[in-house]
Amino acid sequence: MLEFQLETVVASGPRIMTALALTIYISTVSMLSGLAVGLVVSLLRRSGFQPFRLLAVTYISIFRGLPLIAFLIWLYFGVTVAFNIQLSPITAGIVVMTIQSSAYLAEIYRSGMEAIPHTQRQAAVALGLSPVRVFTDVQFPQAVRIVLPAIGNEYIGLVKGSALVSVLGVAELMRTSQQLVQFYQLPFEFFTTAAVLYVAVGVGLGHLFRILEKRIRY
Amino acid sequence: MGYTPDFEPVWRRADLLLEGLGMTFVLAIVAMACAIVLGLVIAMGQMSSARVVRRLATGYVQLARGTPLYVYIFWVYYSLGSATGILLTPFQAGVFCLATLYGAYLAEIDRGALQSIQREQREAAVALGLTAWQSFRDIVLPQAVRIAIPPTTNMFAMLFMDTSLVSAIGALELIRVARIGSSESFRPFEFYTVMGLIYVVVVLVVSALSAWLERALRYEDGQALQRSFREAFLERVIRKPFSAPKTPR
Repeated sequence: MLEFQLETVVASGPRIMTALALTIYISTVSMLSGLAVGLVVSLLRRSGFQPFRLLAVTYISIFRGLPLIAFLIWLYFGVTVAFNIQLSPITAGIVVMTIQSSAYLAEIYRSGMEAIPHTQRQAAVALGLSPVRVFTDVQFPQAVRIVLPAIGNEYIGLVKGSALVSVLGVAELMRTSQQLVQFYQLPFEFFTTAAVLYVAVGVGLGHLFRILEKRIRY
Repeated sequence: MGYTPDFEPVWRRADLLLEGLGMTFVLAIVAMACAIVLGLVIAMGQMSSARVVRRLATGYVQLARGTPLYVYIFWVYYSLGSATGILLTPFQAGVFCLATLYGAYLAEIDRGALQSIQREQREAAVALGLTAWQSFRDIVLPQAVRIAIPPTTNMFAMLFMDTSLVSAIGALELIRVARIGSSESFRPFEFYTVMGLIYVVVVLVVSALSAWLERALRYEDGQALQRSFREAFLERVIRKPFSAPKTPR
């Protein structure tokens, strides 16, 4: 029976923690910018101007159908070479994850808005609320509650997905684990540690979002 | 700037790309078949009357849903081999990882579908003299399958995308062959663009299929809303996205 060489893992603790911090940084930045870009995409999707809708739908279909790793390789090894763009691996990773999450988030926003009955909007208009206040005071607070679990899932998905940025050579958790595996020749120890950390972050975020959901429930 | 794309090398290596696409499909289909069986078993486990079985199945689903596939693939391929002496080929490791992870996702779909069949139906079946197995086979299962098929098809699209991760351990699927092609020809942009387009097209077709199945398999007043796939595809992919939003403005 093998023995789990815990001392070696603990000795590499600081390196692993730095890598974990980078993982969280990359996924959080991508999440925040994805939330913003996704909002723009979903507004275009609802626009009254057909070319905008066409653009948004094409964007959503393409980036939801493209595997993250294919997108990363295409951008970092394909586009940069063809168009002579200088892009750091971290930037490339964040750009790709932002675009991908914005496509998913745009659909999440839409489902949230569609879940609110039209009658609410009509009632608010009838009460004399301005279009902006209809959105901020009536539609938005309800939509947030509906989409929050989905947004939480997306965030957890991004943390898991950020492991793929390792193919570009970013020293996040996965890449660092691979390097440590090669150095110490201990695949079981380091990959297990990585998996446990990813699961732990996922569980932690899940809890955080459940607390958040309770907080904004009226 | 001033780059002129040249897709000629890509067409010349079309055989390589097709081989990779074939491998991607085989991986996806074999993994999906295993995942469907596993998913059903786990779903049954989650609904079992034995508490231990229920706990185990639920724990498995939660663990599987929290694990990143990429890390899991590395873990199985490199560390399980060194820890237990079981040596898997990249293909076997890929199928194992995809099947065990997607089994957990599919279990949730199956459970939802099975539980959506109301208890009254089973009670009615029992009252009519059907055995438990007969009522499951003839009453519950046919209805549950109808409900589960569209989301399962959608899961296949996700699984198809996730086969790309198996490239990391060296399976000769689409990503891998595109990397080979681009390093042979020094045309990464062209190869990776074609590779990306192939994924997008397959995923779009599969999700359109899922949308069609959702309509075609739904019963309304005992009548199926049967429509042709072409019609549904047009509505889903061409007309519906571009039609005006339903909300009155």
